[in-house]
Amino acid sequence: MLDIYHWEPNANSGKPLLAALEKGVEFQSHYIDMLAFDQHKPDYLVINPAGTIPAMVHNATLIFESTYMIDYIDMAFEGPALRPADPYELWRMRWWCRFFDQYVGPATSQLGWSSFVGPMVRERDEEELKAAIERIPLKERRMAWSKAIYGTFTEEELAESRARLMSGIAQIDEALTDHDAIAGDQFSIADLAGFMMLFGLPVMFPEAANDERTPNFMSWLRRTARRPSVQEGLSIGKNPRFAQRFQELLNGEGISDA
Amino acid sequence: MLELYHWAPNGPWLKPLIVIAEKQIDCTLRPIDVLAFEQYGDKVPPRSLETRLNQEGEGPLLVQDGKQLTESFFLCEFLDSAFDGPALRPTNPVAFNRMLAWARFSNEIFMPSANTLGCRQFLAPQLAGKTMPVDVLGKIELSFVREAWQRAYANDFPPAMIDDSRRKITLALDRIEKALIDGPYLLGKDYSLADVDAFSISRSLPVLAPDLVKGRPLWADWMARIEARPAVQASLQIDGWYQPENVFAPGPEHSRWG
Repeated sequence: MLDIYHWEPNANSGKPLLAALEKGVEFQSHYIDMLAFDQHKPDYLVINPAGTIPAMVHNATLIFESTYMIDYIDMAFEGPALRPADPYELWRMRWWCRFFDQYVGPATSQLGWSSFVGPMVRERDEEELKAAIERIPLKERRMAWSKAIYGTFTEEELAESRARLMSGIAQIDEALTDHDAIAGDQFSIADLAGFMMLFGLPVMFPEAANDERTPNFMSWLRRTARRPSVQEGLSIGKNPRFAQRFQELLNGEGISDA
Repeated sequence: MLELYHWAPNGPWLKPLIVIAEKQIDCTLRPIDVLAFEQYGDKVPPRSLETRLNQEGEGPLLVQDGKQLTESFFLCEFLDSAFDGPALRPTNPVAFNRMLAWARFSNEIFMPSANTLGCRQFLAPQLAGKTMPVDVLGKIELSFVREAWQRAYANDFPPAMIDDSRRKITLALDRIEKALIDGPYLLGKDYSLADVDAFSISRSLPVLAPDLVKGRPLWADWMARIEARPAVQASLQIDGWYQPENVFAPGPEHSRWG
């Protein structure tokens, strides 16, 4: 049995979910409420001692890293290939996954955390929050959470994240000039991971991602949003904010998407 | 036609040299002087979108019939999937997942940390009293790469940055030592790209952080085992470099989440 422990079908949590749906693999979904800090509670730490989401367990083995959970699903199960057979396209897939995970991903998360996760969590009791931060096992995550909760991202950090997204989205748009998919012509892990990381951006940061400035990027987002696996994956969520962003993306169709 | 533009056999440049030698791939080696900024001049072909935005900072460039590839680990994955010779990637999905998880940890935690110490100890003294050529600065697209060069010219490595790098190198060494309990190589019984990667970065540690490598018997044996491989020996002797383990240029960005 394949068990996936996830929060909303957004960013990292969405990657293994969509991969399993895309591949037609049966799995048990376990919703972990990130805003209630379920990922740092003892029950969950037994499953994933790092206290991070998502987690994926297959045959009693914990599989690491959300992007690479997709590789695992692709290798371990039958179904349509999620990785190109051509070695150069495989490399392109890796290159863009790294760009999403390491370059534009943290910038997107920072904007999302400062505008959404932080304010949501700050509504909770202060002592309860302190205790929740203390329980986080990884030092890096403890620092990131305390920054998000107390809104201590500096204006300089946020400006750097915005600048990175302005150029980064234009670069993704450029990569999509000659291809329908990120790695080439075939849908792959890079489309899935990139979509999950960035589908909220046209709503969250329209200056960087819109039909006039980045038409290829926008049609790629909508093309991916229409995949049955993505539609099904988005319906697994419980927080209306993400479903709403998804709808806004689809509703805001421009002439470039003909 | 396959060409590898490389500098000294250390860190990111060493990895593909080892893979080419292990698999006996027919490849034209083209040495580049990174300190003379030849990688931004006309010795290399005009760069593609992805390789202009090399997330690794300075590193090798592979060109196959006009297609350009960077990012040492994924470039090695390309070589392993595109060419015959002994396989350097496991076929078992769990082992494959461990290999990719290592690559991510290496790219975002281990490499940047070893690189920070290396740039401070070996690059900054070579640049003392000089300034970064303005025309080169204008050719570097990624701000973190420009900043890393300027940091080295200014010899500006705050103690907190050094402490953080040393902490992360300790994490990497702990992780390697633990993995080697189960077998002679990082993924168990078979030598793989994870070993090539970890070895290439680890090779400078005895000069960068001699106190941190003490008391790690499994790591020391593993280093000696890999160094003794004929392909590794041949790679370390390329271009007759004296102590290539002391050769550094700005590398990947430290993970923005710590």
